[in-house]
Amino acid sequence: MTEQNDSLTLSRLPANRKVVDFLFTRGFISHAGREMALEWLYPHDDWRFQVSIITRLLGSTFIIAALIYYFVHNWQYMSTAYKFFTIELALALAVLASVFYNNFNQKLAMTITAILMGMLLAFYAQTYPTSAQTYVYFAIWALFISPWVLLSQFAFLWIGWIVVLNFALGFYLDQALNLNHHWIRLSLLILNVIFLGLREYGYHQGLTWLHGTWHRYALLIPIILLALFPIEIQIAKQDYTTIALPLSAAVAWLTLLGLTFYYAKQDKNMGALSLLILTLCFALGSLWVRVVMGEVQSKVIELTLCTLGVFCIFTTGAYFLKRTSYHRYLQDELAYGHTQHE
Amino acid sequence: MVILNTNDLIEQLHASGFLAQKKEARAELLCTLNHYQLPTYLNIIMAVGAFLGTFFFYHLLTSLYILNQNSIVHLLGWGFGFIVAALLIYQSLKSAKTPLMQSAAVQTSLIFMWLGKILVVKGIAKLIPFIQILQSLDTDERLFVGMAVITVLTYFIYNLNLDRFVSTFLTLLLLIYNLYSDGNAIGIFVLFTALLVVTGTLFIVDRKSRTLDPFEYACCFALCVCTALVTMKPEFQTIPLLVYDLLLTFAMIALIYLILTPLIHQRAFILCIIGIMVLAFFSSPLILLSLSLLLLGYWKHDRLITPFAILFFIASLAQYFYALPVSINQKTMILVASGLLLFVVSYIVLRLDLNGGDNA
Repeated sequence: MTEQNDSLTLSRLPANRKVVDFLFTRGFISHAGREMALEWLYPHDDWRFQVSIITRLLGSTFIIAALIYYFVHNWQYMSTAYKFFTIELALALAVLASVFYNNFNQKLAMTITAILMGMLLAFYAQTYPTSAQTYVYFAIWALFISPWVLLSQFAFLWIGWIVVLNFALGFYLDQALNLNHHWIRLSLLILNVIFLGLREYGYHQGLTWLHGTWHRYALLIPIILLALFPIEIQIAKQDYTTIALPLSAAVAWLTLLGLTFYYAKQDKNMGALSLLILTLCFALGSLWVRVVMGEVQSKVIELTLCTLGVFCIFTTGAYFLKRTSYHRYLQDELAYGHTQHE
Repeated sequence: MVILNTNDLIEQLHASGFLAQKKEARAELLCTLNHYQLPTYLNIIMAVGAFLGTFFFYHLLTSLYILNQNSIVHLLGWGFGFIVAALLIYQSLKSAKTPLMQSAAVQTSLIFMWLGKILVVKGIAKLIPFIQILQSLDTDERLFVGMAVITVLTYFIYNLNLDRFVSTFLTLLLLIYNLYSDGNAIGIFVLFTALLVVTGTLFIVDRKSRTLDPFEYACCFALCVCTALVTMKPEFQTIPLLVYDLLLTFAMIALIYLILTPLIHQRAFILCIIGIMVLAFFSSPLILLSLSLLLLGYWKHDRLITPFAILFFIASLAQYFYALPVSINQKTMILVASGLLLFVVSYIVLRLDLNGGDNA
């Protein structure tokens, strides 16, 4: 094998800790070489930055949790004026902090403001009970904090806002329109798919605050769960009496297939693609087992077909992932080659 | 610097003077990594597929009446037969030409291996009453012995890290379950100490066989399970929690020493030790362990341990505050103080110049 051929094949293998450790264990590189290679692949500064962000997020969570604990425990001993004064003071401080700070601390202060706004609304609803239904509070909360969310350029706050919107929509469909849970799940699925689409669009438009991957999974995992529920229920019940369940199952299949196609062909993101392929394999496996158990009488044939079906489905899934990963590395190398050339 | 793949890495190491034998390194990497290393996402899909496949195949075998579940000879014979078949199929990977064939071979091999192991474990569990020194063992203990035996037998000959990790972790979980169901606090303490020593040693030693990687991770996760059990179940606190805290404090100090001594000023190192010792008296073993894992992840550039340690740290804090034996008003004060402390930690982490010596 020539040196050029070696390079082509090795360029399909991702550089990771395993490769570095392999070179070190076989004595090709020294301890210093190993440390340098690991620093190139996983820089320490990244780690420090992430720990710093996590500790600040945790710190804020603790302080807000303390506030909630304090109010819930002492609720009956507090006067109305004291309750509102304390929460409004905290809110005013958070607003001031978000005006005077910059960078991450500003975003954190904006997030705290958004949470305190929710707390204020909850206190208001507790103190002055009205006939308004739950969704109204969530809708007002989402509406009131939307300027902060739009200005913040902070994925964490956006995800929080999307969660509040999900609650508002879910309660609205349940309480105001009296829709059953299949329609509610379908609506939430569509809402989250729209936000995931916007996230991917923003990411590819180069919005720096959308760099990182956790928010992709924060949207994708609920989508997968919302899609898997109607699929599995439809497979188990085979219920065609109302349109809600078959329609949600059909939309769920289309969503999973569409997202798989997008992440395989356009984005080539292996993490998201693996989750989707695993879900599809699971759903197809359930469908196959259901069909076999419904049609075949002999237990031996039934179990043989189930074993073979599951084997074929998961093997194909693994093969598809391997193939996509291979094409991704070729594409990355081409893109990198062009950049170098330019 | 953009390192996209192994080839880039080799070129970069060569250009920086860290790798002299470029051609030889390439040749060895091509021979070894191409065949045996599966990325994590493939491992997960393979594991789920193999688990479901094994489930159906096991029931198929029992419904065919060719496997007598009461016969030790049948169970061990079929079990070892499947294990040998799994090894042969896995060897055939080397000659499989297409990725589809490779995937099919790994999947089949894994199903055969897991089915073989289930049958062998059942066989050994049935065999144990005939062995005089092991006669006193109950059913769960027999299953643990069976699992331990088959894991040791296959660990070094079946070159698939997924199976190595799953088998080792299951063996350790069975051991923990046995100690838990017997209410054996001393046993749990001995296991905790052993896991702490083994995990620490394996992570510290750099020049070791990569075959031990799955064992290292299985020990690490089992240590987390063991610590959670001790912290949350008062009946296992016959040996006081302070002893566990002290052991973990020593482990953390050793880690800090290994990580920071060559990099920072001596005064900062002493301050770190004082900080950890104070933490040991106020926190729980879970928090100390999760912090140790965070340090380990940082030191080893480990992308599996670090996210796990972050989640484990958050869960440990939640458990700590939930179980704190004080009034809610006092809890509120502690939460606010901890929140402010975390802001200080965040500030220090960002400002700490690990390479600058005196700046620390």
